[in-house]
Amino acid sequence: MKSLKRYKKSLKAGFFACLLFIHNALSYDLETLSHNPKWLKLLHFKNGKSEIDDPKFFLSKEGKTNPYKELVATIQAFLESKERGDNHPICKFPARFQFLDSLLKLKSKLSFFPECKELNKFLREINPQKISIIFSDYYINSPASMYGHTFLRIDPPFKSPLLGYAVNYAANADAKEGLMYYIKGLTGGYKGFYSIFPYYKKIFEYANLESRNLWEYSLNLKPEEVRFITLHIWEIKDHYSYYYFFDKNCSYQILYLIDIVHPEYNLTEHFNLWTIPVDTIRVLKEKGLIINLHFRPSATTLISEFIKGNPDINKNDISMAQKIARFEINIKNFLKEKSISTVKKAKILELSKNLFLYFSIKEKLPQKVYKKRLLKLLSARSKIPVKIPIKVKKPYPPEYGHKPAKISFEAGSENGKKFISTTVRTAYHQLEDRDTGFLKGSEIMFPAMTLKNFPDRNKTVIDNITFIKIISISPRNIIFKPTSWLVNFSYQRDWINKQKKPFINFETGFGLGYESHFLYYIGISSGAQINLYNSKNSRLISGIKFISIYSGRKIKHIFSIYPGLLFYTNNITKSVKFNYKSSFFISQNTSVTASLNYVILGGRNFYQFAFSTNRFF
Amino acid sequence: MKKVLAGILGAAVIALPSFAVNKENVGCGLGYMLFKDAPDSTLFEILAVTTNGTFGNQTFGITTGTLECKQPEKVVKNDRLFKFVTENMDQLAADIASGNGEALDTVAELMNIPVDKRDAFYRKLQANFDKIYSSETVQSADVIDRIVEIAQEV
Repeated sequence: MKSLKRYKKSLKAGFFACLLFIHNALSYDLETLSHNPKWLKLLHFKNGKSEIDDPKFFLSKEGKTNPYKELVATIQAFLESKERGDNHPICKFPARFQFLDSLLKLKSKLSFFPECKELNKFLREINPQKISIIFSDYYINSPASMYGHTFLRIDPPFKSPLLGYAVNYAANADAKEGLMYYIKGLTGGYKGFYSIFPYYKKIFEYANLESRNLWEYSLNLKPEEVRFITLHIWEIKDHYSYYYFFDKNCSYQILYLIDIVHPEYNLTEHFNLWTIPVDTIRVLKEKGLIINLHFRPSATTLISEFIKGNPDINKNDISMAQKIARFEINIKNFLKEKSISTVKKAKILELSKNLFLYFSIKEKLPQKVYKKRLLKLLSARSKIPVKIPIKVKKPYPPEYGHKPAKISFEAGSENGKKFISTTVRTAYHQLEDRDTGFLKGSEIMFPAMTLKNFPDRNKTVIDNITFIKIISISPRNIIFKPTSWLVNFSYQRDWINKQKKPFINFETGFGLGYESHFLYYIGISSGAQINLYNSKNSRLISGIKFISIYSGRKIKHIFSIYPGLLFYTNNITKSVKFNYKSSFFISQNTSVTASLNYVILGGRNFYQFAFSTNRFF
Repeated sequence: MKKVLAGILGAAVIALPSFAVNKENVGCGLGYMLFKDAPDSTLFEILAVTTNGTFGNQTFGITTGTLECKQPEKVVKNDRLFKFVTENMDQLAADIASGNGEALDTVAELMNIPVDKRDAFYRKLQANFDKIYSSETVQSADVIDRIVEIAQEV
């Protein structure tokens, strides 16, 4: 560190003299070189400045905004450092060195080459050969993860992907801070760092703890390119940039690592206002960088697929497996049981094993109980020498889904008044959109707005602004018993007396989901509607919500009914809301929707019907 | 309702318990993934809120822990194998018991077991499960030593 400071000082003192020396010595136009796309990418330069915020990442004081001065300072530090070991700038910035050396032949001008012990140890351990980008599925129970997540995996020359290393970009955030956690996450209040961990730890974190499927896309990069990326990870690993949830997030920063070997693709340039993880996969695919895809099921997917793939395992067998996993029946007696075939025993125990591993996490088994039971169960499984391989049917990959933004043009009638309207949604997925590539029964709107025009009256109103809306309908079955829930916070015109008036609307609900041919939800909902102009019109609403969804490749039908009570300051009225929507999917990013709302409110009826064409972008 | 709230505000509002230091060393035995960061048996909370990895001061998890572990005797320096087995004790046990699985394939690859001999090797390991994972306190070094013994017989 001291040496660095010294160089910065000497740099200041003899800047021009040095410049002259370096220019002469290298006979290379450094001014031109400082605009080289690869150099700019190595500095994470975009829109006139580096996106790295840590001053220690720069060897020149003005390095963050001046790539030329950073270039001169870097070359000077490489050539003049007296450090023999890990503190030499060549050891600290090995990717910069490799790049500059390839053009300027710096090695021949060094009086000695430093011994980079730590770096070499790191390179031996990683032994980089191949690289993949991993997409971790949507996790709707946490707002920070509901759009999914991406990270890289660097592989040594082994067949097993478990020996790879996951390179992740994450905020050094403290979730204890509650609301501040979100505010800081959105406004750059946290420092983001690259990190690197064995891939199996990430599998455990995502696939086991959070039950998220992982999609592993191998990238079409040469070993020397993978090595260059690894060198860059080394030089950037301790240097922060401020984390912004919407744009400069994990998926965005991961793209820089690919940008440095393919600056001509300019991947980071595709993302300015926001970066949605799956969009980064799409861009990589467009550039032809993705050559292969492997699906890694989560703990819950594995269990569901095991049951689907073994139709001979019936309900009784499943409940038997559950009892074994919970140690409610004696395993030894089960092994001795003569009425069950050996293959079936193996299958039941295989299921018990996976259930046990899942339950032990969900139910937080104490360490001692966990270890004892694990060995007992596995010992029983090992007594039946029959292999039961699990065949997992790969769902549609996330990039096959529709794009996250949507614009809809609508025409219809609001209780006889003709209207046309336009809705713009920035993200992400609604119940009436095609499920392909998304979580079934989920809706995330964040945010959206509808403008409505009544041509006969020459009037335009804001019909709706949805700040956030989430619906999570997760079906319950013999094994999994999740709670479904919904939340909605919006500005919305709604029926009151004979017309629609604007309300600030807040609704939450929770209930149960089931699936057969349809997906069903039934739950309790309650909310508040605050009238902006007349507080007497403000009301609380409480009721039972029922939703049913039919979902096909080409068509989707959604029906919901919501009977409830409206509480005003001085009276109570009944209300029933019916909602029907049908969507027809023309292509991945185009659909048409017909909808009908019917509301019975205080003895009066209101309706709205509309047709819309929707385009996702 | 609690769940709904948690859903709205994210798992993030759950306060993290502070973990007392426990004498029992789980670093080299079963339960590595589960209990390594939370040795006093009330585990997961700390991991449950990782949500896209927005956690941690530690950014570099390359050279973690086999230093404090008992060293295997029967295997000539194979650090990658030692580290992998230590950190995947449970998954490897689960694979050996079933006679197949990715952790088992990884171990076979690291031990250079020829592909055509793996079936027999896996069957032999499965038959010897109780010997390999002999007790709840079994250490990774013991597991490796037993596996090496068995490999020599195949």
